[in-house]
Amino acid sequence: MMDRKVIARGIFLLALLLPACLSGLSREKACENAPVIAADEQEPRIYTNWETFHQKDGLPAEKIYCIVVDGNKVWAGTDNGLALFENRKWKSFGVKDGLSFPAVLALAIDPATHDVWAATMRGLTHISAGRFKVYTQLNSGLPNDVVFGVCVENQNVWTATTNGTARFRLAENKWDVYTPANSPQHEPWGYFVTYNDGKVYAALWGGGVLEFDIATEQWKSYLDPDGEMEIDVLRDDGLIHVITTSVSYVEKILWVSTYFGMSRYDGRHWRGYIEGDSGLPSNFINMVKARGRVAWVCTDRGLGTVNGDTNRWVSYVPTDPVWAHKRTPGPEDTPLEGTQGWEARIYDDAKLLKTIKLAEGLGNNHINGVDFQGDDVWVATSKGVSHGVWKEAAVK
Amino acid sequence: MNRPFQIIVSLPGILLLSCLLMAAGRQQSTEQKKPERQNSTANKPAPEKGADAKGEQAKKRELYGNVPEDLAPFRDFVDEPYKRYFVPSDSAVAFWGPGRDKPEPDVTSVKIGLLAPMERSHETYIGRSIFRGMQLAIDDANSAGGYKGKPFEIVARNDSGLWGATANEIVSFSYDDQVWGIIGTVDGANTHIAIRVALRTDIPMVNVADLDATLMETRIPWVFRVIPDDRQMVYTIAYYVYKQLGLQRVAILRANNRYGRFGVAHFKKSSIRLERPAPIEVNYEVNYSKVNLDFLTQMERLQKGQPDAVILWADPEPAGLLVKKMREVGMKIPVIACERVISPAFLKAAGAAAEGVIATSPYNPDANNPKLIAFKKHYQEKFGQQPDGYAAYTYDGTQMMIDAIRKAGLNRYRIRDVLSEMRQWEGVTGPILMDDVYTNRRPVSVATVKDGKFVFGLTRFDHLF
Repeated sequence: MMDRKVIARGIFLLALLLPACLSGLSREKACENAPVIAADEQEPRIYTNWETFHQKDGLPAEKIYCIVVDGNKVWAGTDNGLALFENRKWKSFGVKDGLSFPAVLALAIDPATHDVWAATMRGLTHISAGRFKVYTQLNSGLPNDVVFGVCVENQNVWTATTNGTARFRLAENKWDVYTPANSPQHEPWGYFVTYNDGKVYAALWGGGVLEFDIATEQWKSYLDPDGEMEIDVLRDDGLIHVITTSVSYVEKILWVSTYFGMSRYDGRHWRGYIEGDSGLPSNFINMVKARGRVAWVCTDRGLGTVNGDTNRWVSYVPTDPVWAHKRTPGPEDTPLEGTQGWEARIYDDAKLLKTIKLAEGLGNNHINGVDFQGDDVWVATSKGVSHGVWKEAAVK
Repeated sequence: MNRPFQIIVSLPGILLLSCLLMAAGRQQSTEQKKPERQNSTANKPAPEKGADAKGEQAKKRELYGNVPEDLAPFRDFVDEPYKRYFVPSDSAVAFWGPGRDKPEPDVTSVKIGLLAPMERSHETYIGRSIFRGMQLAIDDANSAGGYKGKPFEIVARNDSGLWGATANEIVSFSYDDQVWGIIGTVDGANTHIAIRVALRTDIPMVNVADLDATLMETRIPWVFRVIPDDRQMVYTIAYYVYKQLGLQRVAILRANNRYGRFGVAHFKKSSIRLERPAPIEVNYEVNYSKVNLDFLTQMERLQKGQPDAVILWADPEPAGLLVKKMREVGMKIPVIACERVISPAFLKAAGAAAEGVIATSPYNPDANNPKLIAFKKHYQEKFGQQPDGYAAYTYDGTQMMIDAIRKAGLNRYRIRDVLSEMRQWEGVTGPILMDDVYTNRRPVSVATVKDGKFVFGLTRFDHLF
């Protein structure tokens, strides 16, 4: 007679796998319904034209934490100030101009006013009509001076700090601070915030993802179902890990990045992506941002793009980087950095279909942020700002 | 479809049925194994049926954190999880970004940051030990020529324990003070905050006193921990109370903060996996002196749980008062405590009630290690007291940082790289054996209070993780 424990295990697995199976069926159905398009035009597109800007081009630092596009303008938050790209020229703003601190971790644009909100390591700076105003934990309700994330929601500005996630009601000059005392989180460790389509999402360090519904003012929490730090028990069972680093919510799809891989949630089904079962360049993901159905994934070993409906990947990775040979070069070893160029790798799920050598690659494989300007893409790397120029002719 | 069948095939129905069957299976399994547990002294995890020795060895290598096979998460439900992190088959925790080609600047001294609770905190007793341990290591390094003739210098900042304050201190270390690395911190909550900022500012941290297991399970490549974590402590305790002593009902008494909550987390999980969940978990407020000095509520609740033993996770003084109160109300059961109680403050607070209390320790201060003997002598001469475990691990951690700076030069990226290569280090605390997330996985030690003093290695433990 079969052991009851074995039967129980079987049923337990069946129960956990059922949503994953349904998810698979739904994906298949989605693929069937997808429009038939030429391979070269499938999303994600393949960008083969890249240019990179460095300090010699006018940037205040090589290390770029974040990037945001506002029409024809591109703002970059660096390790040593804020940079604005306009009319093919970079202009810098620093503490002497009114910025609260040189290191700018995140940026947000108010779509109504085009004001800039800069989250720095020592306060939040509001730039409006050329004027700078600084908010710190001593002169405002900002929970902590190290501001990891910022976003604009209607007339409110949300911040992610190590001491709580806060909503600044600009018109009323009032702050609402969300901590374990008034929202479903264990520790008040905000890491990222984003707003779209009536919902604010907060990525929490060790606390998964929080969803705030603007209409109802209610919180909802997403956690890793297995609750373990060192394993992911089942694929596609929910959020891949509770150490979350960013969130993107576009076209009703929630993308969540972690240092352990990425998760996608369409409202019914979860999908997990890790190195080896997808075209993801690395599990260590600093940020994810979607444009339409495609997520752009900023990892420490390259930039990945994936269409969640088809699981087709295009990943931009360095060819033969120095670190692949010797992880810890000594002071006498040269070169200490560098690659033999870059390539775009096209995957169907984890299957590598094609590799395209790029004439020019990105500034560095350590990618911190991404934003979009029409068909173009702007990338914050730890060594310069890279610009992917979309030219259909290049692919054809 | 008729309604009962619909309920059974629905998802909640399947889960409910699964839980019922598992509960039945567990009960049956517990009953079958009872005699073996009562007589168990070998305490070695039984090998999996059908697994050959090689397969078993390979599987053990893939278990992170020295977790014993029978305490592995979800082992009753899946043979192998979809993904294991922090094991050799996983990608290395490494920094893949640029920075190693940054030139060495001209400096007058080589600054190393110290972040520890030195005032306005209930953990100052640890912070001050850290400061003394670091001071001794810096003095030794400067006596030996410093860095290319330039002295090492401590830049100390207080870890006040306020939420978020640690983040601001790491920013100051990185940008204002221009330190090359940081030694500290103590509290799990503050350390988590600190390492997130260190990740953004690219600065190596050597942790010497925070045993929160989750700290290193974040994949941040800039942090290294030289002191064994709470996993090692509680696996040792769980095997001792359940497998060696054969106890059934072990209660938890802990501080109501992250240290207490996460300190016992793996003990709670271990108890469940060994099919003896803790009958009760009781906590006390860290500011107990203002709210509940007599601990009567805690005692009442503990007694209702009718435990065979108590696991105690607390700072030394409240731990001593709690043990004293337990004995006063007639609870003569074994008390097994965390490493923080190995302190004169605990012995003073507990008085005679301390006798027989067992504590896990990150190292053995009575070991016959020439380096340790010299360190203790030097420490006594300089500070007029004997070092505790935090001072000893700080001395080792600071020496590792100094060694890394000397090898790598003044470049934070290369210093991080050299630290990541230090997988085996012989220090005053004995061997430091760094695993794939850069935390020390050496076996822990045990101390028992005998005749008013902590005696190391007195109680026989068959498994020291």
